[in-house]
Amino acid sequence: MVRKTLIFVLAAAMLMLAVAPAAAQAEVGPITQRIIDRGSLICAVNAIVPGFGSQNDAGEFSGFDIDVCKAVAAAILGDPNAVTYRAITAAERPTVLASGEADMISRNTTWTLQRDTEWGATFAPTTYYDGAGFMVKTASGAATIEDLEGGTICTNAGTTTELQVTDAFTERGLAFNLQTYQDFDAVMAAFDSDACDAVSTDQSGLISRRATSADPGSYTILPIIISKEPLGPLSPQSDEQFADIIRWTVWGLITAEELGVTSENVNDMLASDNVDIQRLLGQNNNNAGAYLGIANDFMVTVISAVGNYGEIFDRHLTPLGVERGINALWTDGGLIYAPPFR
Amino acid sequence: MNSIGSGSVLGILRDERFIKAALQLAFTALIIIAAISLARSVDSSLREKNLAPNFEFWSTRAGFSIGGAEAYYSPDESYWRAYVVGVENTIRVVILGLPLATIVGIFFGVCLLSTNFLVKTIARVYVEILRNTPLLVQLFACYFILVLALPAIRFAIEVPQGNPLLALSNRGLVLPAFYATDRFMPFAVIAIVGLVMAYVVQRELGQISERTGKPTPRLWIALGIVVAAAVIGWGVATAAPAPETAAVTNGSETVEMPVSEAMAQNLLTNEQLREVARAPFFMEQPRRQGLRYVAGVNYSGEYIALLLGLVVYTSAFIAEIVRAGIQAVDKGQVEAARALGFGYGKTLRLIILPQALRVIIPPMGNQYLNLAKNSSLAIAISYADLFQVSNTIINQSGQTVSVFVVIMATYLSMSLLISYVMNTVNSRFQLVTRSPQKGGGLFAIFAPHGAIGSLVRRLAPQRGGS
Amino acid sequence: MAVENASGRSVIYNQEPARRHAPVSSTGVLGWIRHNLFRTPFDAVLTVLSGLLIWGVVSSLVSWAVVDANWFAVTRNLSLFMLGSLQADPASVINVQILTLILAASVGISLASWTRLGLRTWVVLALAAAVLFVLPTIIYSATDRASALFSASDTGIVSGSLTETPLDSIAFIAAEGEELILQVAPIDSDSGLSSIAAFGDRATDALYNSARNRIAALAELESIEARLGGTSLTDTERAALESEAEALRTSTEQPVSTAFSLNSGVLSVRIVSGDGETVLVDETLSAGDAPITVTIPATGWYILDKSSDPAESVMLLEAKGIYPHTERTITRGQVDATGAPVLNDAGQQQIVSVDQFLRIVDDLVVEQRGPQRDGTDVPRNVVIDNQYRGGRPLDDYLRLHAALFLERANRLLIPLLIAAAVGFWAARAIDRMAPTTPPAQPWSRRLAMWSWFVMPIVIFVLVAPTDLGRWGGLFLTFMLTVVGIVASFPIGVALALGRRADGLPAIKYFCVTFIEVVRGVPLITVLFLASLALPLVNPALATVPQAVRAMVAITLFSAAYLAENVRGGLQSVPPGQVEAAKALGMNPVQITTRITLPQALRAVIPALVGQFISLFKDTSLVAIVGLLDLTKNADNVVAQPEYIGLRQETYIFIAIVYFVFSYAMGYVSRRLERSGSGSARQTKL
Repeated sequence: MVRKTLIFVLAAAMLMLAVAPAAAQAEVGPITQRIIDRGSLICAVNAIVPGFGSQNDAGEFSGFDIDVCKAVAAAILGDPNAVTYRAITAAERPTVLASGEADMISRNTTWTLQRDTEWGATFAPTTYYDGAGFMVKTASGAATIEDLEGGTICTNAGTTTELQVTDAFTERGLAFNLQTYQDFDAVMAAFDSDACDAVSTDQSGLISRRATSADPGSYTILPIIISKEPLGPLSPQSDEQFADIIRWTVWGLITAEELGVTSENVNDMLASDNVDIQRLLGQNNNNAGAYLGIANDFMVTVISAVGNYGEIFDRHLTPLGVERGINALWTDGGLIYAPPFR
Repeated sequence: MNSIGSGSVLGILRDERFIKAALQLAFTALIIIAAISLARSVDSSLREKNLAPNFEFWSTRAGFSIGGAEAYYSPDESYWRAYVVGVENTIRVVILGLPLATIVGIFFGVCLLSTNFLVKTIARVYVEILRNTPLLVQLFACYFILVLALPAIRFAIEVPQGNPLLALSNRGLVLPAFYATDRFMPFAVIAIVGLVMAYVVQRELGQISERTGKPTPRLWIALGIVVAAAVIGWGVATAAPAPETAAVTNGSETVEMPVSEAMAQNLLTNEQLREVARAPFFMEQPRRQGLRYVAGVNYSGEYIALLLGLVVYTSAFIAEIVRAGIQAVDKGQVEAARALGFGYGKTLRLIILPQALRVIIPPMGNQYLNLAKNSSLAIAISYADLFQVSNTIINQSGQTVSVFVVIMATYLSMSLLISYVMNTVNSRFQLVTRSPQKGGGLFAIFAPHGAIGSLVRRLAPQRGGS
Repeated sequence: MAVENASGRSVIYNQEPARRHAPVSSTGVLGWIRHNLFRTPFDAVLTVLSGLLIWGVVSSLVSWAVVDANWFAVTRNLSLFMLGSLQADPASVINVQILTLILAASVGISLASWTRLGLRTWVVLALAAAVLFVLPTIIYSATDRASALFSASDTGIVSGSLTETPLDSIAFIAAEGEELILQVAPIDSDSGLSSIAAFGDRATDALYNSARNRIAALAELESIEARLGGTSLTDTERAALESEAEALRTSTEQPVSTAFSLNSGVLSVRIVSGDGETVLVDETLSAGDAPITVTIPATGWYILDKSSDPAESVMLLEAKGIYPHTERTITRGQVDATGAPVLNDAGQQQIVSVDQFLRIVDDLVVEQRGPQRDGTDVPRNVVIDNQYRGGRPLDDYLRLHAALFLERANRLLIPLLIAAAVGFWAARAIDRMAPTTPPAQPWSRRLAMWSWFVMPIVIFVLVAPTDLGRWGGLFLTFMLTVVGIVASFPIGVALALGRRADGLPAIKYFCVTFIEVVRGVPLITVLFLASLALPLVNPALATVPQAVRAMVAITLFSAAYLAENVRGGLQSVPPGQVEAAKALGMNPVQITTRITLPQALRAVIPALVGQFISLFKDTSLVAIVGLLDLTKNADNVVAQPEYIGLRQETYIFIAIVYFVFSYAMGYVSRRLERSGSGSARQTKL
């Protein structure tokens, strides 16, 4: 009987030993498991927004939002190129996550109450704080919204901007004529021929259009912001763990910029003495990815693949003339802030 | 009948009627089961995602504005009202587009048959380019290249300059609006009486000329009757005395001013004009105010681009149909007409066109259907037609299924209406022949000459290549 | 000897009178012109008006295409237009290339068996191909290179709401052996500034724009002063005009060139290699100096440092050989030093991202990192910042756009032409070697028909291994059309037969309802329904690629139209045929497949081909549901930062591609039509 008890105790101990390391490694959610089984991440993106998501002449997708997809793929699968991109239209956004056609949406989508609840999706942290504004011709001399009374304002159809322009004018009691178009090229063409008195879309769009036009000086962007447009990725509500991975990947990119870790020096930083850097990169027995069910040093892969937040910004948005502005780090007076990696 | 011994089970099973009935039963059951399971699974998956299909959301506040419809639609109205505005916009395009496309198409069809080489070549190039490029690309071209090439509103083309009756810019075309005054009724009554009389007279004269063989200038006489009626009606309407003065707000004070002076200075409101004007209707001129034109009827640039694009595209197909129709008329007819001394115009009008129309009308009906359906491409150039508005509704509310049901029902009714009209017109032009071989159309089910039969017959579009 | 009548005229001849030519004015070219263009006075008026119309339209189109349009958007994105994202997968690209060669060969075989083209046509084609092949080289040697203008100064150049300060250094790529020619631009006035026609950096753009705006403002000032000279103005109008005129006068007081002392100082130019080791040139230039020539030692990065003395004066450097580039990141399979693929853990080739820098005026590609100084990147000469400004002269158009496009098009078209020629001559050779006696079909015709029947299988085999999600461009359009045609054919025939099934009312009703409902709604609603609603039907269908959903929608739509066409054909089969078949004891299935259908289908071939042409064009609608087909790729291209806003160029290119294919199919259809029914005498008005 003693032998039986001994065997029983030994077996129990071995069982617990077998389970214990697994307990230290968290479980992955169903969507993360699906991504791992499939071997690639399906990311719903935009193909027609310069700087955020566009297709180059080799047919490859590149942009600010695309780099976020690559970061998540690097975090989960270790390979930033293991992504299948799906260009979707705005109409497909509510259904594409719920139906399982895509794992995440990274498509400069604004975070609103209605979308957070009705789309069956969870919003990841805002990667870009934007706001809708107006751009007019310098020659018209308009400087405030009141100057645009009775005029034609042109914008994209089916976006939050449409509603916000309506609200901005009606609450000031001004008459106006709203023209919506399927895409911003149509808006700009109408604007160039003076069929519109002002165009309205996110500041990032206005700035990049002005910077890449033939005569930037003939456009003036009014210093008015009529809405808040926090843009960021989304993931399905059904898998909170996957949402956590995306969340902490984004915050990891921000933390990396705070701590000065770039794609160039990330390998050197592995040996750093800075405790925060060690926590970020999962070095020195610190748990980072382990809590999320992925590789512990996932941030190393992510940063060496896409760089930190500042590098991503500089790669895609700075060439278009967009400045950091409120998208600077909180230490520089902006809104980009990440909770601690511990 | 094909049976092995009446009464035996095997005999029944091999009976042709039994096989047919069983087949149909099985088929119907299959369809019904498939439809029900489809509906069930769509319903359940929508419910899962919090997008349960319902029709109550149609009365929710829309929250978006529709370009060009500010006068009668505000964002506070319901989705349904927004949709109705969209349908009105579509009808506006289709109603003007169909006759314009026909006229332009017939013009180019006749040009295709001209003996002048340059004219023929231009028409041929026009038809080939338009028929061989996608309509989507053409609509973009119409909008971006044509409409936006018109001058900006600051430099709008005004006819006459300064006090315009007509203003053309890349925001659109503004035409004067006509409103009826209180004196419209007598004028209208007399004018309608005149029209009816003219029609009757014209028909009578036509029958007389058929009987006696002598041509009568019946069209001119009819026209004369109409003009006379209009003049008499105008005289009756303006005969009643009009008030001499009216209370007019000039600046900040209200004075009594003679009516003629007030009219010259444009100080009367529409209400007052309705009362004091001597004519049966008055014209409201377009007026520039800041960055836009108020008063008058405004046709937006997108409307013009869509109309232009659709008319031009459909006219290319109609031109080919007209050409084929005219060429289908036997050349002997033309030779005989020439032998009788008919000129070019008479030959076309009296000999060729009536015979050509028989061949032209069925495919033309198809093209009309295409125009009505192609109007849905307005979504590409931001004209607020029913499809574009529905798209916005889907984006805002997420109710894909119920909106699509409504959209498809609307387009179906439009198509059936056009088919019905075209089939009625067609049946008047077709040669009366032996009834078609058994097995055609829906004759076999309903009584061939019953009411339902002919109604259904008219709803089924004619065959005819496009 | 001639016999004469009373008035002395010869009336009987015993030998033929001398031949005389017909009047010149009624034969040959002149006669044709008179007959076709000037037959009646009205005709003459029409001719003149039409001629003016043609001249106006064509000349404005040509001048826009040559002078204003920026064709880089089209030329540099040709493979995107053709293949979409499929380019990234070399194996798929090879499959597609093989497919196009097989198609071209089939077209060649068909031409051999159905037309009477002979050696002459092919000689002409070969000559044309040779000319096109050689043309780019001729253009490059006959024209001078385009220039690029760079500004150097410390002052900010103001243009409207923008102030642009010239950069001190700019990094560019160049190829080994190229010669750079540098000089001070011969521009010293506003009119010279506003007539620039070269690549220009941002500061030069600001100069160009402010010069043009000043000239426009001066013109407006003139017109305002003319109106002020009139007498029919009210006081308020006069005051407004005068204040406008005053504002214009102050803003245009100083010419732009004098405001910035344009080209009046000394320009120092220094070109070093990217790593800073080799200095290629370090000299000073003034206006009117002879140009400096620099030879590039090796392909790679170089840095141009420029400054002006005095620092406030703006100096314009004109350089030939320094051109902007685009930057992109692509993925490709990793290979080691020997070229063997590097495998990852799963045993597949490791995919790496590579940054590439492509010069826009030719095919130079550099994969080294851009140069850095003091840890920061030197600003690079990217296309976004360095566009071509001004009205293009013919030389620059030919060299920058026509030659570049021809080079790329030749790579595509000449193999196709060769494949078609091979197919053609092989078929002719087969006919010659194995002639058949009529009524047996010649071998080439059997081969041609078999090749088209087998084509769907060939397409399926070659295309199946490719990734459906990556299909894009013309390839996607082509596949949508082919699948639409092939799949809708059996469904359409079944629907047509079902509609005529009198004894089976349930089936007939279903077919009628289906056909009428599908024909009554626009294709775009069916597409939307398929793409948005399909995943709602069954969650398992969520993984179905968008392309397949579009194919389903297009197939169903096309089947309904096909059913109507086939119904017309079925109605045209004389009832006597069916009665005779019944008398011979054939059952309904045999009657349908052997008697009715063959005759019906043959009767409606022209209508069917017409419908397929419409199908090809209607696939452009999938752009609205987000599929990246040829039409949607126009949107993609104008989203690339370098080509923002160039919609007209891309749309015209796409329209031309659609036109070429549709017109070719229409030509085939017209030949079928003509060969089918006898052509009656054509009525002429």
